Amino acid sequence: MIEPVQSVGAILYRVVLGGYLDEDDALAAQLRFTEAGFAGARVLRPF
Amino acid sequence: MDGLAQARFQARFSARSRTRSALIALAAASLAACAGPRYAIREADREPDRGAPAPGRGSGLHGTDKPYEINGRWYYPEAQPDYDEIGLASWYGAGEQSHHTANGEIFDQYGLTAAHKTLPLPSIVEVTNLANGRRIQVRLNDRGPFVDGRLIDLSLGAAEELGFDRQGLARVRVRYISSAPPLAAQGVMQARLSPHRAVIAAPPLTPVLSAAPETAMASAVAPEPAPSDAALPEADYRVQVGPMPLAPTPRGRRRNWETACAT
Repeated sequence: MIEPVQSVGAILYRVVLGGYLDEDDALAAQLRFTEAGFAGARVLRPF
Repeated sequence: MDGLAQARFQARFSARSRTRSALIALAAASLAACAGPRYAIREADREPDRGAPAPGRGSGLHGTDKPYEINGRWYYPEAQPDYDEIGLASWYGAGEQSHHTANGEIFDQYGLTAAHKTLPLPSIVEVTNLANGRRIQVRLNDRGPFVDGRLIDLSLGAAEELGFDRQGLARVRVRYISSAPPLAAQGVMQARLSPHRAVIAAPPLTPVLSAAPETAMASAVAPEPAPSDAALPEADYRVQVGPMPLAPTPRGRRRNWETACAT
């Protein structure tokens, strides 16, 4: 899901990808995004 | 709350109150400067002060079910299945990261959790940001906020999902959903423990672009339908990228994105 986020005078974009089976899977994806230049990538954990 | 937990809770609250005092003063000054009714708190939102508990009150209660005192005010946790209130929400994050919450869980600022003064812990509540219509369900696992007129204190992750992390405060509706199962292992967020996990509806003010990352990301489509609990995928872990100042459509960024997804 690509979601525009309203900011002050600008629109930021946040991308949320689901479908990761466990934390290791998600952390691996986070690492790939970080290495690809998306420094803000992070895992959203369920509860 | 037993003695140790009470002491830990008080100590944590003291530390939090010290670190927050400057922020609160700053926020108070800012609110005063607004000089408008935007953040006015209705009397109905205020926590009633019932004084100290009567002798014997609380007997048979355990942990966070017991009445407790903060800054001379007593609070009385109790089941409130019909709880449905409107009030002011704030959020807390880095300063509490990895600390213990009031019910002994380890706080994760990026989780979808919250603090409430009197609802049972742990439980699930639905929080709606009245400014933008975003609605999420969060796990209550902490006590607070101990500020007059403040209804709920959300984790940074929850505030981001509700879209008020940049403002700091938001007027919200809080509705009790259910009690929550204990975490399988302390501090470890387990997948599929509960269907109550994520954004369940976010009628956006701005259009939401719905597209798989490997497809074109710039084409605007109809707003994404609000997913229901039944429609939630089995895999609950998600990865968020951003917020970014630019849409991930420029060629270079998109190529990076596709590369990251493909590996």
